[in-house]
Formats: sequence, structure tokens, C-alpha cells
Amino acid sequence: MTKITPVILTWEYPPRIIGDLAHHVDHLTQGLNKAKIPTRVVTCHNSPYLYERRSDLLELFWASNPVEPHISVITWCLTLNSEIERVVSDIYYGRNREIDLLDVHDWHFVSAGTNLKRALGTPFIFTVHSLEDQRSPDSTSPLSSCINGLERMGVNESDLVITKSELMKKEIIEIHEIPQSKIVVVPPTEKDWIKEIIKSYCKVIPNKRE
Amino acid sequence: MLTPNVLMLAWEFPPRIIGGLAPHVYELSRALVKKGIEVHVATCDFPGAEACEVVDGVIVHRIDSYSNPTPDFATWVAMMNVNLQREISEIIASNDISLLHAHDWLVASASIGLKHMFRIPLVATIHSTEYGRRSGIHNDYQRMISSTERWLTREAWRIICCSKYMAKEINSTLGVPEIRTDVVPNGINTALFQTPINLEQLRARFAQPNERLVLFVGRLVHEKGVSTIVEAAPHLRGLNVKIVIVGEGYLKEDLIRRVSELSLSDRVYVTGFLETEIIRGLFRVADVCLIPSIYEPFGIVALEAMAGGSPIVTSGSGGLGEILENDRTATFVYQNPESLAWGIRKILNDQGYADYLRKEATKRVKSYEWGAIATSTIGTYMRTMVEFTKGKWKPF
Repeated sequence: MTKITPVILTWEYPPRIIGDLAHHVDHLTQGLNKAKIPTRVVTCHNSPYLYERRSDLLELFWASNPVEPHISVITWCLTLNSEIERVVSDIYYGRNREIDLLDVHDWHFVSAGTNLKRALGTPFIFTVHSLEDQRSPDSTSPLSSCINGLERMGVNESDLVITKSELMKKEIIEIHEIPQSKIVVVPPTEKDWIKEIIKSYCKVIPNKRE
Repeated sequence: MLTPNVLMLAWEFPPRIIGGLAPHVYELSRALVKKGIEVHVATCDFPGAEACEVVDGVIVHRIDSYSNPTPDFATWVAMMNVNLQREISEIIASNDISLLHAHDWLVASASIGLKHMFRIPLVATIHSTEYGRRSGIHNDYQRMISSTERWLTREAWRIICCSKYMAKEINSTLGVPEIRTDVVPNGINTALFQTPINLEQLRARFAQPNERLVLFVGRLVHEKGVSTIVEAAPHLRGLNVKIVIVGEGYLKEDLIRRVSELSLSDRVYVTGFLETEIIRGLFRVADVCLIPSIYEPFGIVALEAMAGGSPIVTSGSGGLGEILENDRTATFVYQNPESLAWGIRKILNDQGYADYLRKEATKRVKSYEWGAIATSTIGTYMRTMVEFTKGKWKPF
């Protein structure tokens, strides 16, 4: 059995379901649990509770935005990032530094992933589900440009990029100009996709073999 | 070891000067270094300025402040914080930084994130509040900034503000208990007001030799009460005065128009922006300096007038009432044109009284030298470090 302790950062996770991301990460954490990987999810949710243990191996940490109201998705997201950093740091210091890696899903918490990696030395994987260039193909708005900049930060600062398809891999390379070797494709439709995810996790942890 | 290595976060530092924050951080950081504190300043980049340099012992890190387009100022601030935080992580790790000092809400997000990731204490200086700047909170944009200020003050171990007035304002608008607040006034470098320059020549640029020079220096905005000065001018008949209004702001065109309507163009001169050296010289040659502010968290202009030796007429609002004393270092008046004119007359018609105000102000301003301000700031740092050392919240 591989003993690793990932922390997953995602801006949606059930019950907060905005799009497909919540279902995907839910599916991923269930798979990791079946593989006996103790997993922590740090996500945003305006809950009166800060913590929930969903199973022996799955812990959820809720963060809510410390600033209200907001004027844009960027200001909302980036202040929330500082709170995410607080929550992850509390796990790190409170659990004897037992975080092997961060798996950041999409651009929302890229800033936290980058800063936590730089501050705590924790490896950081950027899982890309979609890109701003695909979601808003013809947009030249400053908002799109900010999101694009954060995605670029994610692919550049992370130790590894995981994506779902060869097509996405090609687009990431074209848009963000990173080497092929930095991206792995793990389609969640494949039977052994969790094994592939764990293998990818192990790649970024120093001295860790599957 | 309690003496901390400090990293200050400020969105402006010379040569990037937007308002009063840049000179404050510049002078304070240099004074702290003179007292033996290692000080790093992380700030926004500026064309032509070095990315990293040592300024009088202060290690200045200028970080890409996000030059791409953003839809509004608040979004730019958010992206600027991302860039600051990313780069500062390495500065903290490689320089054994043990205390963070944030200046105003603009660096809140980066400061708070860094505090938690490195588990080092955070001190925040609140120079002014959104509530005070806008005379209330009127829309979501302002609400967001005010909420950010509240977040910063909640996360900071101690809050520094420049006056008791500000401590009360922070208490009432942001809910900060006064017990967590330290009042440390702004400082001044009085030596800068002694630089040898040709004062006669400077004065001649603004007033005739037989005219008494009445000076206002500040942003031309409502809260500074500058409109009252123009309205006071007609009440100064019989006095040969030249009123010189220095500064920029959204009221500038209104003021110029009003001067023209009142046929006061030969009596009131709205100069616009002037170089700092010229302004310092004006404080030295002015016969009266007017500070009729409606809202003033501190009132650094009062220290400048005192250092320059210009007798002051003031409303005494906010922090001004703590720096100045009526009939000792200034003449206090009401916020209306007649009262302001009365104060001007009182000084211009009584040379003995003017000399007394000048002499007392020159003595009093010494207590605001940056060395003294740095000592008080170190007091806040030490108190924070003692609390931090005793507590359990630590990296390991």
C-alpha cells in the first residue's frame, strides 16, 4: 500500500455543486479512499462548521470568505485564497507537517497552491479541467486576462500538471508553452484512473515510489 | 531573541509616491534601522527603480505589481497581492523574518496569508479608514474595502494608528477593541526644513514683498475644508494678503472658478502640484498656514508647518486637536469662513502672538522626530513578540 497524504484544494465539493468539478473531485476522493489513501479536502462553503469527517480516511475542511461583499469573481477568489492558506497551514502545523502534496483543481486556488509550495515546501499538482481560453474563447476582457494569468501561474509554478485528455494536454502546451514532460493525461473514464492519479502523486513527492 | 527582523508590506515606497504612505514607510523604516532593527520593505515595482536595493540600511524589494489590464482598482489590488505574496515567501525564508508589518488594507490579503503560512506575528498600521475617507460607507465597493480593513485588523496582533481620534474611529467602524491599538503618531524630519535655500527668491514667486503670505497645502478635496479658505478671502478686506493654495484634487477647477466669481484672482493663487522642496520653503516663508480640515486622521501638514515655523490657524479636527494646542501652538477656529478669517487676522495683526505660536510649535515638533516614532513602533513590536513568545501559535 502506498502511504501518502494529499490535500485537495477545490472551490466546489458537495454540497457546493456549481458544475462538474464537484462531482469529479467527489469521485476522486472516493477512489482514493478505496485505495486507502487518507485524503483531506479544503474547499469553500459557508457552513457554521469548519470541519467534517466523512469517513475514516476522508476529512473536509471548510473555508468561508473573510471579506463580504465582493465586486468581482477575482476579488472574491483571491481573498478566499488567503483563508485557504490559513486552513492548510493549520493542518500542516497541527498534524506534524503531514502533507505530502497539494492537488489544486482549476485556477481558483492556484495562488494558494503556489504560495503554500513556496512557504512550506509542499509539492503542488495543478489539475486542469478546462482553460479560460476555452470557456471564453473570444474574450479580451481584463477579467479573462486575470484568470488566464492565474492559470499560467498554475502551470508554471506546479510540479506537475494533470489533465483529462490528450486534447487538453495539447491546448495547455500551446497556450502556456510548457514542456510535454510536465503534463500527464489521466482520463477519469479509465478503469485504473485512481492508480494513475496515485502514480502521479508519487512522482512529485521526493523519495516516494508507488 | 525578541528583537525582530521586520518585513513591511506597503504598496508605495519612494520613488513610487501616491500619497502620504510612501514617505511614512520610508522615514519609519530608516529610523528603525538606526535603532538596530533589520527592516525589509516589500513594495510594488516602479519604472527605473531597482528590483532590490539597500536604502539607508533598509532592504527594499520591488515586486512586479501586475502590469496586465484589470477591470478595476480593487481587482488590480487583488492581483498585486498575489504577486507580492509569491515573492515575499522566499524573502521571509532566506532572511529569518520574524514579524510582518502591513500598511493599510491594500496589502491585507498577502500579509494575512504569509502570517499563517510562516506562523509569524502580524502588526498592521491603519493610516485611515474607508469609512472616514468617504464620510460613511455608501456602496458595495466601499463595503468590500471596509470589510478588508476589518479582516486585517482582526488578523493583526496589534494595530498601530496615528492618533487617539483614529483609535476611536477604528474601534467604532471596524470593531477593534482599543486595548489592541497603539497610538503612534506620524513623524517628521525637521532637518529637511533647515536646508539652505534662497527664501526671499522663493517667496517672490508667490507674493509681493508687501503682501502677507497665507498658505494652504493639501489635497484639494472636501475633507480638507479647502473651499472655506476661498470663501474666507472676502472677509479679509483691509489686509494685504496673498492666499496660496497648493495641491491637486477634484475640487481644483471648482476653486479656481469660485476665485474668479469672487474677483479674487489677484488675492488667491491655486498653484496645483509643487515640488516637495518648494513646499518646505513655503512653510518657512508663510505668515500663516491654514489647516481647516473637516476629516483628518492625523494631520501631517501641521508637523510640516510647525517645522517650517509657520503660525497655524486650524479647525482642530481629528488628530489635529491632539498635535496642536489652542493659543499655544495654533489658533483654533470654527469650520466657517468668518471664523477662519478671524483666526488669520488674529495672527497677522499681532506679531508678538505669531512669534509665540511659532516658538512653541518649534519646540513641540521635536517630539515628532522619526527617532521617537521608531522607538514607539519598536515598543509595539516588542509587545507583540512577547505575546507571541508566550503563546502556543508557532511554526513548530
